[in-house]
Amino acid sequence: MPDFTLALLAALVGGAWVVGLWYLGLYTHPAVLSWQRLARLRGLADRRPLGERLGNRLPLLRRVQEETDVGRLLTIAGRVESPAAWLLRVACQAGLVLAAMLLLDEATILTGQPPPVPPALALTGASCVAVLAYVRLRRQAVDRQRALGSAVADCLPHLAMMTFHHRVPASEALLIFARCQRDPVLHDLLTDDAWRQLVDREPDSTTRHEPHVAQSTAMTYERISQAYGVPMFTALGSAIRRVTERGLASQDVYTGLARTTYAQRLAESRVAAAQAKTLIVVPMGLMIIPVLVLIGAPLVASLAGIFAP
Amino acid sequence: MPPLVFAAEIVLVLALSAAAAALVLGAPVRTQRGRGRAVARQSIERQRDLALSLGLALRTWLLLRLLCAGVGLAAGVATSIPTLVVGGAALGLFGLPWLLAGRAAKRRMDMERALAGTVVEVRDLMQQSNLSLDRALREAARGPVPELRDVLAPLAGDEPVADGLVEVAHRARSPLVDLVVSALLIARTHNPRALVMVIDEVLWPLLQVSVGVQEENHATVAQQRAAALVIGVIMAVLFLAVMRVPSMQAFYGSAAGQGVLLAVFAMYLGLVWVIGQVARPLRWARWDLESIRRETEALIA
Repeated sequence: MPDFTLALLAALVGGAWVVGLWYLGLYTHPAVLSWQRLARLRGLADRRPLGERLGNRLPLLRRVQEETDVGRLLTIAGRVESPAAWLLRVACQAGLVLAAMLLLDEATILTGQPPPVPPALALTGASCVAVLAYVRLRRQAVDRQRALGSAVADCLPHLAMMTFHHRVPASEALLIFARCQRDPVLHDLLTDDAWRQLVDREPDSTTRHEPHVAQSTAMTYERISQAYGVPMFTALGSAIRRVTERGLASQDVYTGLARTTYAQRLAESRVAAAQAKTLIVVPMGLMIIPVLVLIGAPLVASLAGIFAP
Repeated sequence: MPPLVFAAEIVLVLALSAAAAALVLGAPVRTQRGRGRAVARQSIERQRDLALSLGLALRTWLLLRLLCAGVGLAAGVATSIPTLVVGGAALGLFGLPWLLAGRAAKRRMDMERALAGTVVEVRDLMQQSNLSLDRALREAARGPVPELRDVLAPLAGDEPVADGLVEVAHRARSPLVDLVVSALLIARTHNPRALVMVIDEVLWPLLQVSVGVQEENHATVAQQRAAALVIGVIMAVLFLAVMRVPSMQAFYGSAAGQGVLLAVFAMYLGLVWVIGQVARPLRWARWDLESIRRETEALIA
């Protein structure tokens, strides 16, 4: 049987060479190259990474990118560490688990016993640590999204009263109420500039290269909503727009929004309460298992003793 | 050097390098002490909420729990099985809040339902009797329903209305009461007329429906809690009957029997926890009423 290793290696290097030349534009027509250079200079070229561009065309890919974007999840969760620091920390934790399991195996082998955990299982354990860290981060992000939505919604009746005479702008009033909530999640978001970084990364944002001073409060809230995935900010932004641009009475607008928001929340709770009646039957049915184990375990043990060789 | 130790050493070095790099890149280092203190503070606040909902002082409630833990410990010692000694003490300590949580929730719901009536009364006094908000609050607090007598007592006295409102929220320890009181504090300093509209369109329907939803949840959970309790009692009776048989007593005295008991405890407690998670209460933002009073008064100063 001839050895194909060298031939495969040569083919691989040749292929890499061709791809490299293609990447450098050697096969592109000079006119196209000139146009690309001009577009880059004029700021007309799309400079987003390939993944992001593909994500715009494929919604599923975009969804996967959003779900696995550690930087975005860290910002939404309100964590101060960078994605690289988070990845390294998780790698450290997974490595420690792997090392501990390998050492346990070796210690067991030294006592003359077979290893309790196969090395492949140790690798699986380390992977589980990484997966759990991601799940925890995602849960923190979802919890913060929910807390932000709830914090904004619970400010609405107060906003209606405080902005009645237009002495206090809505953004200022929201900041005051955020300061007065025991959970500082909304206050941290509004006073910290972390949201700007996330908003600037949003591909759909049409005004992302515009200076922030040019943005209205309504637009800012809408962009926060888009970046953080908190629809309550969009609702508040459009309410502010109705007050400031169309001249509607702030009390009517904010009271109406509060009424709608609470009605929706209560309707969801009603559905959950109705579902709970059915769901609760499952754990109640499973209650029979500990009873059976309590009675059955001694019998099984004695039978096992009788039939033991 | 054995290959596994060599591999573990390499992995360990890589893990420690990753940790060092993460620290250089600014990964936060949270101390266990700080986290423990935050958890302890939350736990004490929860116990205080529960105690006040039951109409007890925090100290009395904690003593009651310790007493129950002692009773559970004594019952466990009587069986002379180590798992049951620990399990009995834990059951006494943690079972009591679970047993009384329903009663505390019912008292809080009664108070919130009564609050809905009081809010409407304040609205009527302002709209129909043309009273100022402060005067309407004082009037409403002078003839409260029994569920609100203790909570509204600060408003019936001579202390300033703003201080009284803050004290009302402090006594009620309910997020819904916080929401209403914060609205009242803002209305006092900004626009009492807007309060009438907010009460009509937002607060009163909100209080009505949320109490209704919570009652529905409470009925479901109370029913299942009673069923879980009955199953627990049946298990205890069965266990006592089983322990009268010498061979079974010997099994539960062995290491395997201790393991079975631990598994049974874990399954039962896990299922009780799941029952508690199925019907979750409505979540509201918690307000710092003292801050609201300060901020709203500063705005008009």
